[in-house]
Amino acid sequence: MQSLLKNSLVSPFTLGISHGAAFGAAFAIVVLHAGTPQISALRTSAADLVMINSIVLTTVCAFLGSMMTTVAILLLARIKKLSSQAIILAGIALSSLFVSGTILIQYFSNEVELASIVFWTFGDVARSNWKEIGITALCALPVTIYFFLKRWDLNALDSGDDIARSLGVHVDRLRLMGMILAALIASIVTAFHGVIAFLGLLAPHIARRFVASNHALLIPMSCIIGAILLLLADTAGRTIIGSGTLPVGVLTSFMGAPLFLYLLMRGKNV
Amino acid sequence: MMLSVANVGFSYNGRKILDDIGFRIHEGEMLVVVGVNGAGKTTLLKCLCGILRPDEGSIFIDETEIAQMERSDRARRIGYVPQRYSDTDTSVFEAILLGRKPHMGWTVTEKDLHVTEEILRALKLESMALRPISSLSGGEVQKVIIGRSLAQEPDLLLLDEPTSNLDLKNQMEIMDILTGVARNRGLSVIVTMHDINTALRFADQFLMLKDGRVHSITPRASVTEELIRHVLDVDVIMGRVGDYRVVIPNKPS
Repeated sequence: MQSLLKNSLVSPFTLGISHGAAFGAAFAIVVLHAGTPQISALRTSAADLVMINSIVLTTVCAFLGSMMTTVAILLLARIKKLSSQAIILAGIALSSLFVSGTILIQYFSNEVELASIVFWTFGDVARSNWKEIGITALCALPVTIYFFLKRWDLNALDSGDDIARSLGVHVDRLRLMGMILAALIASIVTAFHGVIAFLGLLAPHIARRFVASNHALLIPMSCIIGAILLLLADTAGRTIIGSGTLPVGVLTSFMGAPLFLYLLMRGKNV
Repeated sequence: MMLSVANVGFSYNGRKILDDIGFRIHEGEMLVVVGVNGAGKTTLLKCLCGILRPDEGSIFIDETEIAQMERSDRARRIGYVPQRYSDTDTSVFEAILLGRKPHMGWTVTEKDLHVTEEILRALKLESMALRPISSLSGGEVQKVIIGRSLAQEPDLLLLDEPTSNLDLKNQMEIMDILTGVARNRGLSVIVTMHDINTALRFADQFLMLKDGRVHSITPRASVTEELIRHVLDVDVIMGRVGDYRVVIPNKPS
């Protein structure tokens, strides 16, 4: 996503795609009754508060929410020729819009539904079961393979649109397909696990430290580092407090927000 | 290889940028495109390499119209060096290898590596092959960008002001490389340029653009004070130093 928009601050979270997905999922859970709040005396985490009884409907709504953001960003980037910084500002505006939408849904929901959405939007992998992990993997694997096959196109895109076009890359199609697929994965992950902030920003940045910008190495390395970061954050969340689990989204925010500010202040390659 | 351009026109936002452009260039020739800022030089190059699609007219390489070519076929025949490029942290080797993209299948082949190594040697970039591009000087970066387009093994090379930000030594080095590849590899080269003196030294032909139209196409020896004055809207004096003709601005007309 950072290569597609040539902006190192871009991630599903900073562009508002995760918030769009969260809005779509909250809409499905409350308005379309795709989610049934569960109160369990034996619950060990916030995850047990929410049970999504229509995975397809929730995911479709999350996807539509994320696509609304993606299309808006792509249109602004293409028609208005926004600068890198302006794209991020547009992402912030869209995030605010969808957060407000989610708050509106919360305002009209009952107490149990409200608690469900709040816990749900924390971002937590503890709620995952093997079925959800399987669906996520089933979608993520072909998308990862697609991006790996397009590694030379992405390398060319890093050098600029004109150079990429002169090397035979169909730039507009690559950017559109790439953003749609990235939004699809973001929406599926958000539908199942809530908003896990900044992971999509952190992983490629750390990966670049090891393998520079060659996508043949950058794509697999980002996947591995993203998985390790998530595992570390989840393990820390499970052990940092005596009883219960801290949502992983909170911990990734603690890691990602300082990096975001650092990149913003450095102002280079943004 | 012969490039034939006929009646090419291009408009942007209702404004005519190029109008009725026509010329030919043969194998091994260097054509320098000259004109004031906004005359349509960059747009012309972008139309020639297929980045922009002309509204009218035709562009042929030999018998094939470039608009009908597959993207990868076009990239195998036409190399393009833009005026601006994005700063990346890839190595010099990877940057030149990227030029092999139109020839690549699923993986990089022995031939891709061989061509890349050969270009590194030809441009004297071997010692910095593993250095990131961001650590190079302006002249070195320009050589890498030219190296990448040479890795495409094109028949036609288009360069948009390749010497505009370089010191004199690097300007001469880049132009020597370009005349060398035109002569030794039989490439046709089209270069846009503001520096008339450098153009007078290296070009085979001059294409003078004025207000998006071809003002004249002339061999280097036929360029006159009057022609420059008319196309560039500046009064000049033309003289000779050693074997070379030089142009000195006099005052705005």
